[in-house]
Amino acid sequence: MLARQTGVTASLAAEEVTLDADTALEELYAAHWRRLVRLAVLLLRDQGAAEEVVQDAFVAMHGRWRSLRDPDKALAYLRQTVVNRSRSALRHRGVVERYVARQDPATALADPADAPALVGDRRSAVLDAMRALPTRQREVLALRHYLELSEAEIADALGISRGSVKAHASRGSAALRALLADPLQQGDL
Amino acid sequence: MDDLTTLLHEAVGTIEPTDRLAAIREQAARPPRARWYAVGGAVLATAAVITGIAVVAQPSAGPGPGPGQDPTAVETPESRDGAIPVYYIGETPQGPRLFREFHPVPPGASVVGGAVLATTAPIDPDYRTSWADGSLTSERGDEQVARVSIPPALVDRPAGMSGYEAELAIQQVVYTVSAQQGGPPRVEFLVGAKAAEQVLGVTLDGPVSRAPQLDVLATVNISAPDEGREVDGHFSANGVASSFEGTVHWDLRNLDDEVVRDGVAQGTMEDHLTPWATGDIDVSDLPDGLYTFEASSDDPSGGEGGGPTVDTRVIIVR
Repeated sequence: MLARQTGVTASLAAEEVTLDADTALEELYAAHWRRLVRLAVLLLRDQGAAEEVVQDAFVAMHGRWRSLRDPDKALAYLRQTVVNRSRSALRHRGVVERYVARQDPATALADPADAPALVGDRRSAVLDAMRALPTRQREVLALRHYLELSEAEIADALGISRGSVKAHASRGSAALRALLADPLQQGDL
Repeated sequence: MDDLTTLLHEAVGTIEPTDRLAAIREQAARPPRARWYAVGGAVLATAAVITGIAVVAQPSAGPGPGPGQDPTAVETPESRDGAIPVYYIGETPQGPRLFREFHPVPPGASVVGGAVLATTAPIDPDYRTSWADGSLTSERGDEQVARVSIPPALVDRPAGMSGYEAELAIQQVVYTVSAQQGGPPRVEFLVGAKAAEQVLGVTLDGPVSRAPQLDVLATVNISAPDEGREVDGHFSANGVASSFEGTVHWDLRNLDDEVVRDGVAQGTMEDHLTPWATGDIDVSDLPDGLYTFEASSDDPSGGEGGGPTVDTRVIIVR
């Protein structure tokens, strides 16, 4: 009898915390859509492509909600999927883009000496500099400095060791600082 | 907050994404089968990449990617240093067939879960996979048999998929698994904990072996160069083929579709695919830009047999 009661209580409790996939989708969308799109912009540069990638990630998350079941796990899955799919999107875009960049050197980093330190310039300089980093470094920096994840969470999201996270973070920070030497010196930071 | 945290927040802090909840809901609400099929067709946008799910870093590995692997390194038909073979579906005059594509693996990484590779995105946009991200899960197997779980929704054939396409999708998994170093020659599909008696509507009576190559593989396949390879001065190409009298025609075309280089690579004619190679191709006098390298089978019928099987790679000459 006692065992049965416990069983009933446990299943009731499980029902209380179990969200269905549609509700979970809506709650996670409300809480994380904007932040994940912004994360993808840091990875991809292009907002349209970023929205595509995050949209696909939400659809994929909904599809496997039954094995995720938990909003924290689902968020970890969303992050991981956004990073993976951004990388995939970049790779397919890579061929044409590298070619175009070579043909048109004017699309490289704007010369910061040209204009006063406008915030808009600094924004695009940061995004350009992120794009110039090796993929792993860019991913680690975005997860660490934008999503503010811990080393362990980053290691989990990228499927690499914590040691590698540290190494990519320190190389990436140094490279980004070097690329952004001017914006960083400009005043109010 | 440190300076980089501030900078990154500032860089994207004013971005206001459009509201896509309705589109997400609609996509998510499609029945799994239909979506599975749609995903198979639109694989570029949806599948995960190999480095994300199938490769794990070894604890002993040094941090960061090293210098790129030389994609023209000597290969045997099933292996290439620093790269893993994955089979994808592409079009030929005989209908869809499997093409093999090598994916570079970061130094110090090792591959896990061969079957999962079949759910990854091809690098060459001419290829596709039938398996959506997450549709295959590698289970514990042994040296003879790899075990792969599929969701119950994939026991029956998705609407719109032909019997041949279903068998090709199954062979895509078997070929990919058995092409991995140490990969078992057969694959057993599981649904839940039990052996699947049917996958995609194809009845199975136990673990599946490779079908004969000429039944499922494209008769011409490029192993190198990789799609998007940058070429400086010269390059060489190689691959596998089964072509009339062993002859593989190749050419290099510019964006105006003008042939700027061509030649013939001689292989052998067997009942399976055998290696071919072009030797050194000098491109030092070509203007920088995108070119398409194309390899094709010999077509002695002059087109009556549907024309030659063709495989292509886009390269960048600089």
